[in-house]
Amino acid sequence: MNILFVGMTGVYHPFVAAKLFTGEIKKTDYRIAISGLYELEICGRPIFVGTDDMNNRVYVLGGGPDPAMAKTSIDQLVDILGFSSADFIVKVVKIKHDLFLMRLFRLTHLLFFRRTIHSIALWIVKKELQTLEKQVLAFKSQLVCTASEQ
Amino acid sequence: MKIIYHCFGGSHSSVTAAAIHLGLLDKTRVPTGEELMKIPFYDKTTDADFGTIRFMGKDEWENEIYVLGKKSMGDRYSNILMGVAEVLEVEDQLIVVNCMRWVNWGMKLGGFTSRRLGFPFIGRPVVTRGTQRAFMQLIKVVEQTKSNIIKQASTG
Repeated sequence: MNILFVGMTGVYHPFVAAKLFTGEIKKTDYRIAISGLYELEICGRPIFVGTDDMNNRVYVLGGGPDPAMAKTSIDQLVDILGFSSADFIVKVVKIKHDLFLMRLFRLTHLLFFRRTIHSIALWIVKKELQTLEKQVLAFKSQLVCTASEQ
Repeated sequence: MKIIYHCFGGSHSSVTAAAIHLGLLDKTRVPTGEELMKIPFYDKTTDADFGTIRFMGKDEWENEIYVLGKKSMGDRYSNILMGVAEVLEVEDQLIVVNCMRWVNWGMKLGGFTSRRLGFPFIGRPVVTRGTQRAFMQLIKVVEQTKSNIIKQASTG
């Protein structure tokens, strides 16, 4: 299965949520990973993060100001292309300051500020880590329920 | 193959392009306002339709034609949809066409007045005139898309 975490921007809170999901957050210095994803985020394609213990492939995506709209389109596209939620599932990740994070990310084209911006973003994401953990846990249990139903 | 035409509201330029593709409009002349209003979804969408991929019909090669409104997401939305198709390894089965480049001020202003402000009696004549002005350019977009389909089918 492919799992896509979507936020307004893909590289901050969805990325950390994806890492929490795959269980890599403890062994990864995600500060480095976040900085390296700039070019990939800009083009708007899903970014591969890793695989979980069930061998599901995990991606992140910046869905813009309305990630719920992106989810609607992707869910429908998956269906149109002849696949189902067993092949591709989208999880929208929300935190308190996600709109601010998206605007902040837009400033990262200024190379000079990039490091500072990522540090601010990281500080915000760390403050919201509990919210992210709750969302990831709820999503995991939802996946288990769906799998047992099938 | 699946072809998705998209624009801001999925209500005017994308719908007109899809109608041209499906042969619902005569390509030899500019359509009348009445003919445009007969196209499914033309100036009929609501805010709830944003992000919804709507089926318009099948073309002469049995390709499925869809329309989509994606707000001001630009080409990024094409990349998102193509990216998902790539993850599923069916990118050769999808063509995504952004119609925003051919949207003129008449379409923007008329579309906004009709769909967002909810005054179709004011906005509709303006957006219709705008669509008629953009019609020949939309034909070119569709022809380019059709040649891409042929190319993709021959390489696939």
